[in-house]
Amino acid sequence: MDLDFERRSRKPRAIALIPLIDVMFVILLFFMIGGHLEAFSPVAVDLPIADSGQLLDEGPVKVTLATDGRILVNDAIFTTYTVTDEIKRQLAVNPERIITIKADANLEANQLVRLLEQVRAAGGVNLSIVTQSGLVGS
Amino acid sequence: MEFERRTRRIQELNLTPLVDIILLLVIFFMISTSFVVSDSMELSLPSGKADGSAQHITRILIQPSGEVVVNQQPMDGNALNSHLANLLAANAEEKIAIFTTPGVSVQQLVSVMDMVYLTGGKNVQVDKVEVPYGS
Repeated sequence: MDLDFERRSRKPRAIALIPLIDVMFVILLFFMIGGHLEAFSPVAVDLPIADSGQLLDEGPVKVTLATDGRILVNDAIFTTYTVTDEIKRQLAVNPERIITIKADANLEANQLVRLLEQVRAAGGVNLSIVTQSGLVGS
Repeated sequence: MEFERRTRRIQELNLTPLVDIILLLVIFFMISTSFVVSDSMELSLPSGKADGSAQHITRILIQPSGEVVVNQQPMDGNALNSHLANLLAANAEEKIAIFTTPGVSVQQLVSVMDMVYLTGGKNVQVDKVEVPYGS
């Protein structure tokens, strides 16, 4: 018995890789098909939940209002004082450009309204607020 | 003869590089995919100055407690829903202005907007309260 065991351990068998590859392929397909790629955002935004949201095109002007009150226009940071000028510059191409606003759900609504006032001051007309559907949960 | 013998002996395929690449792809997709579906809500801005039709606007004031005041009449979420349904059944083009007070979160504002859109409202404006309102 002892001798037999020795002999077996001395001759290492190749690990069967086929089942491993099969499982990894299934996981790969799940992530490729089930999810969708999203552009990296420098700030994390917890989107508000709403049921009436529609799938709309994301506009060329993307304004993000982060939890700490930072304002980002197309991934560049602006302050409350400079954001109007930036939006005005973005709208110089076409004043009808869609402005997509991503605001954190836990923010004060007044901060959002202040931003809306600045967008209005910059001449923005077409606005949309990004939400997430309630089915996913928070 | 030599050639014959070689074909008979099939070499085993080395699968390790394939596994390496698949593992990298799995990690890439695991990190970069998101399962959150983001939607958008359209929003119109207040026109700034009150125009002649200002008396036909339904004003909804949101309070931090989650209660709403519609035309100076306090009500809860369910009452607001039925009130909006009646209002929009009478006039689908009814202008609705939503006002926020300090302490109201974006989620509360979006929830009220959601309710208006779901009951069929279209003309929605958002503004914040400048002066003490409803007192």
